Amino acid sequence: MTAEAAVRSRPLPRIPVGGLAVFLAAVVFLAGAIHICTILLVPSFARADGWSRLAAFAGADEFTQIPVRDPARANAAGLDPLFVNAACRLRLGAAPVGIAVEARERFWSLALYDRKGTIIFSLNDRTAIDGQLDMLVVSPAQNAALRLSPPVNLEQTVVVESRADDLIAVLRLFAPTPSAQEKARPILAESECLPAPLEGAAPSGR
Amino acid sequence: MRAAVVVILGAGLALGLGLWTAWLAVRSPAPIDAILLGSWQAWPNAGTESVDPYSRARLARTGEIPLGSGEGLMLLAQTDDSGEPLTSRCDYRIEGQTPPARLWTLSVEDIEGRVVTDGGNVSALGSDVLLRAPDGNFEIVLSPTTKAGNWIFTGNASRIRVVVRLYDTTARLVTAMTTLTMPRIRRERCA
Repeated sequence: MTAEAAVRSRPLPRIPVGGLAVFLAAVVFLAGAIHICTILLVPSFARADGWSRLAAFAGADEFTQIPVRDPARANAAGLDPLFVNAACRLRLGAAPVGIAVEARERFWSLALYDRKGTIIFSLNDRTAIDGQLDMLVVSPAQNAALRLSPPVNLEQTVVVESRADDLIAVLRLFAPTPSAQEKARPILAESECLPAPLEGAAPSGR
Repeated sequence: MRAAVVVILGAGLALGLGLWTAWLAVRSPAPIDAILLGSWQAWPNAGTESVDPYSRARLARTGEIPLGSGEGLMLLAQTDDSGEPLTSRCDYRIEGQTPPARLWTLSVEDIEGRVVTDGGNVSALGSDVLLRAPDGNFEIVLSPTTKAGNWIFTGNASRIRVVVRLYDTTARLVTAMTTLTMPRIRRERCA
């Protein structure tokens, strides 16, 4: 190193303790900023988040089964292998969506997920009246219209208002044995997840 | 010249440190926003409106589909009671009681969350078929070889984890979490 260079870079090497402290403080500060940015950015960059995994299997206007027992794919992490799990995509843009489930023998539950993976509503079979659940998922505007002219059987319907108009409903039916899984399939097939325009009487087609 | 080296070194160090601590915080299962009960962990805020940014990042990364508050609660164990990681080379005895729930299931997964299967049978047990002692306590043996009583096959995935899902449970209330009892996980023979 030339004498001139040594003079120029004197503030850094000549005061090692203070310089080191400043250096470390800067590193820690910058690392903290990077840490926070990373944490906040992970959800928008994650490709295999719960929503994407569900969306890959979710049926349009029907509940379709999500494979859980297939060991080759970890597509449905977090789903119980003793359950028959099914998903349906709900789009509230044009009309509310009516969900109807009828299952009596075993435990079942239903949850509505939005794009962020937040569960906006969930219930289990205890909420269903005599094993039958009728649900109407509406946007705030549709809810206002619904209150103005309520359909006849609204009091037997669970009305869920959602600010997001793209949702996925996940239906879980407890089916621990192969025979129970066989029995769960017709329940899935008969479960409804259909657009239910507000004009007309029954919101869920019952 | 030396200033540039210092700046580049510092920036690199900060980048590494920032990313590393972020990874530590969102790895599965992250200790942040979790409730600890012995070797069991639970994330009652997962998937709710009150979820914190760390848990949101963790869920986005692992792709887990959490249970809703009206459905139930998932609890996860990756270690036995002494803190040793669970492996399919060892037998484990899970004994005690679970918090009150209308139904619960216990299943064995590999470290990535894939279910363990033995041919057509999945390595899981529901509380509906569980054999219990008269006092309500139960014992479940996790082993790669057949055992009498409540037995779950652990397969040949090296690292495993045990998932208990409580359905229709009051354990979801965070105020109730601290008084919950979960079964102990004792390591027995190892191959």
